[in-house]
Amino acid sequence: MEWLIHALAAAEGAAGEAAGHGPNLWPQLKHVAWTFVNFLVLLWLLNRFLYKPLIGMIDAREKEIEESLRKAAEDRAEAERLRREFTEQVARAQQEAQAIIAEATRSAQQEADRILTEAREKAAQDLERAQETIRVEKERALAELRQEVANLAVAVAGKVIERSLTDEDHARLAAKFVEEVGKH
Amino acid sequence: MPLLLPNPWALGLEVHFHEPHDLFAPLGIDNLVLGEWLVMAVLITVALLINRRIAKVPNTRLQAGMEALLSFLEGWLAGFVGSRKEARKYLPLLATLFLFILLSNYSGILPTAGQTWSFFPPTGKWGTTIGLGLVVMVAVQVISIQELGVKGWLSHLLETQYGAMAILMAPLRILEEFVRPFSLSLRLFGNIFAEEVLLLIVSTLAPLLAPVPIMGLSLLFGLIQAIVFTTLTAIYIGGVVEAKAHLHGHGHGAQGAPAQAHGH
Repeated sequence: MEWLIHALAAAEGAAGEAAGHGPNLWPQLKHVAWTFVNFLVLLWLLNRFLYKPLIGMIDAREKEIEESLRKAAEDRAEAERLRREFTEQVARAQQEAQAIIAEATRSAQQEADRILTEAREKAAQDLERAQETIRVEKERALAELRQEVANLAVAVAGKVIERSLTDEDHARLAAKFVEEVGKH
Repeated sequence: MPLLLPNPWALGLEVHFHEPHDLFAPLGIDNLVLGEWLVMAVLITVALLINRRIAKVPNTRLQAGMEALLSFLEGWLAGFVGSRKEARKYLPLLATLFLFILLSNYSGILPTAGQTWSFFPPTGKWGTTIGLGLVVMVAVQVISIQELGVKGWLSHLLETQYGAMAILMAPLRILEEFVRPFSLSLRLFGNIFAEEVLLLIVSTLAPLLAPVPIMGLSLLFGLIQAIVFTTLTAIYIGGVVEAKAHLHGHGHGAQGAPAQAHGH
């Protein structure tokens, strides 16, 4: 403690007289004034170049993080909503597709049936027509054959009876023959 | 002119202590002012380095470190100022006090600091700490006037809330305002000066490794003193913030008029 007493004793005296006893502890007014000014300058400079930009950045970052979190939540909700919507749409599309396929199958079946029926009908008609034609042709052929046979018969008969028949007789006899043949 | 401090343990050793050394007398610039400027220069350099490459996402360790420090200070001081929002509002003053005092305290560990006239840790001089104490005193009054208005400031200062008792309270209250810078400055100066003297004496007695543990301790004490000074300032500001809340609470209570007046 002795040194402290020395120091305080020295401080009470003038700096010069204190030599050999201890440092002058008393403040100097100019030093106090300089410190006051220096600190205000430092405060202004640090505020201008350090605190304001840095706190601004921190604020901006906090805001951005908040914004991002909020947006992420929104996006998630939106994604969930879209997912549900798409799922519904897909389900609906599947249903529709099923219905379309069913409808298409049904109408194809109908069409097939129709075509088949038509084909059968047409085939039957064709067959009938063909049979009819065959019948007519056959009859026509038979008639022609009868005519020919009659002509031949008459010609043969003419030869046999050595008498030439007139064309008129020929026709009459042939017709009679045909008529008789036709009766059989 | 060096002063000789007698060795407190009467070992016959002489400890050299240095007086302020005028550098530019007309403006009162001496080595103590220069010391403050050096501390300021370091802080301003760091600020400019951070400012030059500042980014929303810190891309320098310096920025990240400073942000961490400011966040810590804001969180720490919020408890004394009242809220984090208020702490952020007064952070420039409080953080500057903290940074200047901390760096100043730590500058005492630099080689030859305090042992030649060239450099003395600024906070080891009473003049510096009184200057800082005065800054705090003035700042608290300015903040009071800003937050409470001139009328509110006066009634806060004169303790008019106690009615007639204010006659007794006001002198004490005003005395308190003047005691604050005094106690702030003496505490800080006393600690750092004592630490410098201790370092000086130990280095005189055993120059090589002996001062190292003392230096380790002075790192701790330097931090504690910076925190104490800043925290006490935060408490003084907190008093103003509380008075403001009280003023508002009162205004919104039975008397409607002051609240309305404030609303405008």
